[in-house]
Amino acid sequence: MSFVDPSLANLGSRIDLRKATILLVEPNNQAMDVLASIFLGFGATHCLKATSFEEAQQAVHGAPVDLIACEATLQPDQPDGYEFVSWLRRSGLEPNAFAPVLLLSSHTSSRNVSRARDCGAHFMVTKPLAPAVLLQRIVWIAQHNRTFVSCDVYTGPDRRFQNLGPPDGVGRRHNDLPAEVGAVAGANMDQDEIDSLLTPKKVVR
Amino acid sequence: MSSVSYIRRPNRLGKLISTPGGRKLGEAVATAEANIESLRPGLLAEVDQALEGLREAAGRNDVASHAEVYKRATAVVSFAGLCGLTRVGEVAYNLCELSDRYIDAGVWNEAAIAAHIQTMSVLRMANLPDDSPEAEAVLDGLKTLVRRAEERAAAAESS
Repeated sequence: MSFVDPSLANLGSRIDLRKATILLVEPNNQAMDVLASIFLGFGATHCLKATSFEEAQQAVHGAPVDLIACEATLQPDQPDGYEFVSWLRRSGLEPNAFAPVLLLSSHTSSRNVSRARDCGAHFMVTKPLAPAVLLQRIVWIAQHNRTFVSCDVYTGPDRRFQNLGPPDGVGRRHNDLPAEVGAVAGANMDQDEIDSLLTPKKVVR
Repeated sequence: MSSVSYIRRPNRLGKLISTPGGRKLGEAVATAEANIESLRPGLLAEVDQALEGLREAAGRNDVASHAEVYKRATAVVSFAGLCGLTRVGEVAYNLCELSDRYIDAGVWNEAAIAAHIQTMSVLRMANLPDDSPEAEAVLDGLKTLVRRAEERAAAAESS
C-alpha cells in the first residue's frame, strides 16, 4: 500500500533536487546526455553515471542514492536493467536497496512492463523521454511512500497501490461471491433488536 | 507456505525534494526541454546512424542481425521523438513490436522489415508534417502488418 505523506501536500508546485543523489544508468552516450540534461533542468546537481550493470552495482555500494533512473536494456551479453533492479532489491544494501527506481524503455510491450513491475521498479517510463512525464512520476513517487514487500518470489514496492476492484468485475477465486447483490433474505431488524446487540449489558453471574 | 514481510522506510526522496526553494514544476520542465533542444544535432545524427545500422542489419538474415534490427529500432524510438521526427519514432516502435514478435515466434519476414525501414527513410527525408494524411496512411498500413503478425502468433499458440 502507499500513503500520501501530509507534510508533502505542497509538493505539487515546486521541486528541489539540489541535495538529492541520483543514479543514472544508461549505456548509450547520447541517451545519457539526454537523461543528464533533463535532471539538470529539474535542478539536480549530483548525478552519478553508470553505463553498465557492473558500474551500476558499484555505484549503489557507495553513498546513499535517492533516486535511480535505469535503462532497461544495458550492454549486450550482460544482465539487463530488470536484472539490476531485481539484484538491488535483494542485495541487502541499506538504504539503497529501497531506493525508488524508474525503469526507462523504448519498447514498452506488455511483457516488458510486466518484467519491470515484477523486478521491483517503481515505474516504467517510455522513451522518448518527456520531461513532464518524468517529473510527474518523480513527484508521485515522492508523495506516495510505498511499503516494500519481501517474499520468496518478489522484493520491491507493494504492487497493489491501486484498488481497481476484482478483474473485469468478476472475482478471481472460484468461491468469490458474485458482484450482484441477491434478493433480501429476511426483514430488517428493528432498532430495539439492533440496540440489544450493540449496547453493553452487565452480565450477572 | 512462504512468509511475506512488509517494510516501511523513511521517505528520503520526499523529504529532500520538498525542502523550501527549488524550482517551480513548469520552470523545471521548460528548462529540461530547452536542454534537450540544445542536443538536437547530436540526436539527429544518432537517428541517422541507427537507420544506417538498420539497413545494414536488414541486409543480412541471421539470428544476430534480427536482434540488431530490434536494438537499432529501439535506438530510433529513443531519439526520433526528441528531435521532431515523431512519425519516424512511431514507425520505429512498430518495427520493435514486429521484430520482437518475429524473434519470439522464430520467423522473419524480410519484406515487412524492409517496408518499415524504407518508410522511416522516406519520412526522415520528406519531413512530412506529423498530421499529414500521407504519413497517416503509411502508418496505418504498417500497423496492419503488426496486427497480422499478432494474429498469426495467437493462432500458432492456440493450435
